[in-house]
Amino acid sequence: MKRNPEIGQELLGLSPAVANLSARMPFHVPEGYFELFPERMLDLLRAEHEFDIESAKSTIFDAKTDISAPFMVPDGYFEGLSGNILNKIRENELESAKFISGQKQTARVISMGGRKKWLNYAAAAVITAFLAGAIYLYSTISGNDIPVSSQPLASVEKLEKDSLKVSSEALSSFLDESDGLVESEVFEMDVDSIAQNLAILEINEMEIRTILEGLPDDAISKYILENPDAEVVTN
Amino acid sequence: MAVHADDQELLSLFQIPESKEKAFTAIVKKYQEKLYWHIRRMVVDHEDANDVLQNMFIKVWKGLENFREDAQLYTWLYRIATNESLTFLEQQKKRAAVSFDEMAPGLSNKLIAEKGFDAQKLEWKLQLAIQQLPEKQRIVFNLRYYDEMPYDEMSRVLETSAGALKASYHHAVKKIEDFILNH
Repeated sequence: MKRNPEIGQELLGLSPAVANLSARMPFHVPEGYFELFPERMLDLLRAEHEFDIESAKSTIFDAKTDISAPFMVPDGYFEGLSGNILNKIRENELESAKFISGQKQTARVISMGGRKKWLNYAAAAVITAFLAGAIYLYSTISGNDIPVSSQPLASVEKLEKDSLKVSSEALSSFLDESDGLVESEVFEMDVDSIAQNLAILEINEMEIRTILEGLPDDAISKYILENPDAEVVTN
Repeated sequence: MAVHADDQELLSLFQIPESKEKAFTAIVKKYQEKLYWHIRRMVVDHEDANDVLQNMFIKVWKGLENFREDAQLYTWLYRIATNESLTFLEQQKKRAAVSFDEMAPGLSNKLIAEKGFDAQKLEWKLQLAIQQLPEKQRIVFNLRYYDEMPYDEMSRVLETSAGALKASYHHAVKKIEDFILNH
């Protein structure tokens, strides 16, 4: 290819090395590309044009298209539509009213704090157990004479169980033979009777003194006032 | 500058529906090779050049009815071809950046992958040197060196002053000389 003289001179002035290079393009182009390109280009444009036409035809905004055409509506549908809707609303309101009244009759109260109540009970039980344990430990460790030991209670229970084994006939014959040394009858005896009973029991004066030493003064004073005739032995 | 007499005739024929396709085919046949090579030098790969050329002529078909006859058809076609090529290259850059694909082939790699590439031959070495240039200098060098386009016409295509284009061309030639002598 013969270079434009003006451009060739300019390039030679700038760089002789570049000016002497071949301006031939080394790139490969498929055979027949340029011969076929104009027809391929037209085919491309026709396809695009047809696509545009089809797109324009199918647009739903085309004024000529009847948008309701594919769907059928029963005869007189729109005439009775408002009446049908009102009836439906009334039916719904009636159903709602029935439902609400039914709910009021059968409604039961559900405690909001059911679970909380159980928690309260559990906490109270734990605190009680803790306090009982603490009192028991305190009494046993410090040696206080608080009658909380389980041993006497167990003994009483054992006696009660054993007494149940004695028949009522045996018990009444025992009372008859023992001439009334039941605690309730002792207080009703006079001094002579007591002396007789003590003689029967073979209790001497010294033993009586020892018994009376344990009595409180108030009780003795009360006994003297109530029984002015009684002979009182004093220390 | 008024359009060439034969371009004027083709544009008139294009306005008539019956002769529209015939006029368009004539325009394509007249400018396709020049425009193809202008695009090919920029995008290197033939398939890419074919895609850009087709897109470019679709835009020409749509825009030719409104073409202002006070402008030159040749200049107008080159401007569309240049813009389409730059848009294509920009899209390729963005695609590579988004995909973080470091192996995305650059223009030099595409050149090396070309059929018959030989780095020892001067015509291929010149192509490698052109690919080292900044984009604007590359376009200016190609239009001046291969298409032998005058600066005033190039100024209309690239919408840049003739003086700036001349400076760009000088810089480009010096860089190419340096590459040829040192590689």
